Amino acid sequence: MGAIWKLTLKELKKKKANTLLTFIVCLVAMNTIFSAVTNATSAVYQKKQFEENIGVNLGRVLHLHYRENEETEEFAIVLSDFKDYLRRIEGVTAVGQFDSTTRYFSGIENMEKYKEVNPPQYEGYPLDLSWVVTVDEELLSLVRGGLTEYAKTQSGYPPIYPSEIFKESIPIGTVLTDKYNDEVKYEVAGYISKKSKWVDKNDLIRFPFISLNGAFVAPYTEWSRTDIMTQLVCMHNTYIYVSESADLEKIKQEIHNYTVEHGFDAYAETLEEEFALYAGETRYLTTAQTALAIFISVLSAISVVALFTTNALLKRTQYGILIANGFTIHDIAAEIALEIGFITFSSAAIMWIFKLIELRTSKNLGIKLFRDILLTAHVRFTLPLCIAIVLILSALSTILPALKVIRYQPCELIGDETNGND
Amino acid sequence: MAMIELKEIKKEYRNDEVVTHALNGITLNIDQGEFVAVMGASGSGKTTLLNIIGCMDVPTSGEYRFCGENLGGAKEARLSAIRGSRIAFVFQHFALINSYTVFENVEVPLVRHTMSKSERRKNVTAALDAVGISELAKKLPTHISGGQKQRVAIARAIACGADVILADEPTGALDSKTGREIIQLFSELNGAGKTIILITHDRQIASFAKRIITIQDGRITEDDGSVKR
Repeated sequence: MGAIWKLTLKELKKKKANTLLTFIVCLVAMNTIFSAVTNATSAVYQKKQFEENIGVNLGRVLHLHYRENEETEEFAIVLSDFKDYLRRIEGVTAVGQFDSTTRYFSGIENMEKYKEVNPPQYEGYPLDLSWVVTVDEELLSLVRGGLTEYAKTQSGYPPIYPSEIFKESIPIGTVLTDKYNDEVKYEVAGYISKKSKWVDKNDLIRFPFISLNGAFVAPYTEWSRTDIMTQLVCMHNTYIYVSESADLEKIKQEIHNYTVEHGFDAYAETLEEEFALYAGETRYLTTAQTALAIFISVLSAISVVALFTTNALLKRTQYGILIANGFTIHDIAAEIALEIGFITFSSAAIMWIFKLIELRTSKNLGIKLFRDILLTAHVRFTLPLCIAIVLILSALSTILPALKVIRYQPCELIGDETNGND
Repeated sequence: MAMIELKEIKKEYRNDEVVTHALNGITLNIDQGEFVAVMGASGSGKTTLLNIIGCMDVPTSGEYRFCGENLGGAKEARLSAIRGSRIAFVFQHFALINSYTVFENVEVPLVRHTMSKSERRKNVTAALDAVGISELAKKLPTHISGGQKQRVAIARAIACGADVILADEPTGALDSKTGREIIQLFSELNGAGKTIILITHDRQIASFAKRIITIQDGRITEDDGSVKR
């Protein structure tokens, strides 16, 4: 095998232009194939991830849609009562809301340490501004990073969990007072890890996960029941968990009827239905993109196979010379396989690493939002698939030229170098 | 025991319904150290005979023994081992790999051998010296003359340490002066103990050999080996 490997390396080195051209064709082909695979698998994986985080089948989670807009203090109570009503509907197992706001806590403006570590997402904003994610305990599963329930505090104030980057400036037990929202008080009950994440509420269909580094997590307070802005915003972020045996259509109807009776209009759809609607809206584009990706991938694969076959046939006489000098026809087939394998494997490895770096460092918003999902899909699905594709491509690219070479007698391969066929 | 023993060797080529009889029962013995010229008209079967002797082709029927070993039904690996170490070829159009340097071309049969890089280098350098082209070692075949290319091919045959050198019209692509020089080189190799089997159309070239065999329609029609030996 050493001799064959030596011969392969020599061939790759000697035919630099040819090797480079083949390598570039392979790189382009791999890029197309990997992008198609990563995008397709990440979409499926993203849905599964969200399903896992929410903890139940997406077909049993209702998402509320709100159509009326009345901004009075009294209406805030109507909406709070509505939330309580939802919890009482037969078949509903839990109701949860979440929200993301910015607050000013008293005393933080004097905390130099806090302002030093407050992350750059607040660039242009005052450094004493705090980002608070308000989540009902029922939806804490959406916050990834260890927080599963809210603790009881000594003071009796609602607990708040700052990011651990604020550990030094805000010790456990500190009471934080919201300067502008009715001076609501929270007690620091623990910290959320730097790696914590949660769903981006601005993309409620695809639910990309974004970092909670530098955020605070807290439950809703009594004050929020009467705050109309909180109630209105959170209506769209309301999730209703329904038991497996419950009649979904009946629950949907009950919800709608209740809202109409109380002077507003809201309706619920399962997350499964929303996904289906989204998929339906984007189906044409997605199908066209996938078809194009498959078409380009197949064309790329065919061009790679054709290129290798042509190369091998062009080297027919050279193979004959090698055979006349002690190599077997099987050595030649092995040399072809090694040459092809080397180019396809190295181009695949380079392109896979390149895509990995691109996914890790890209500033593109689409990639930023889904970075984790894309990276996981790239490592978990594209990598094994990439190995399989390379093996198949190498096998196909080897078998065709090798079969063509093997079918000749050694003397036929070297034919042009002899004095004819006498 | 002769080094090369051919007994009733036949070779047929089939193309659809048409059967061409390239060799029609060749029986021939060649001893070690012989210098044999094989002559015959175009299509008489000379190259087919050479390919069979050199294990580059297999006979349709008959028996071929090399140094007493019956090669009928021998595996490809065995045939290639003989090709790479005991028998070497020199072709009319040189059969050099144009992307390899002269040195690398001469090194080709040694790559398959189990020997160190320094040993290979030593063998190649000695072979290039023997044919007087050591200064061309780094050149590509496309940058040297026809006569020099044939010397490279001969150096390759010497480097692998083959006992038998099969030369198929080695002077066919050369001018007469260079052709004579090349044949002179074969004579010297024969003088050093190598068995040379040379195919030629040229009677003057054939006269350098100690034995001349004439083939016609796949049969030996004349063999003056007994006279000249």
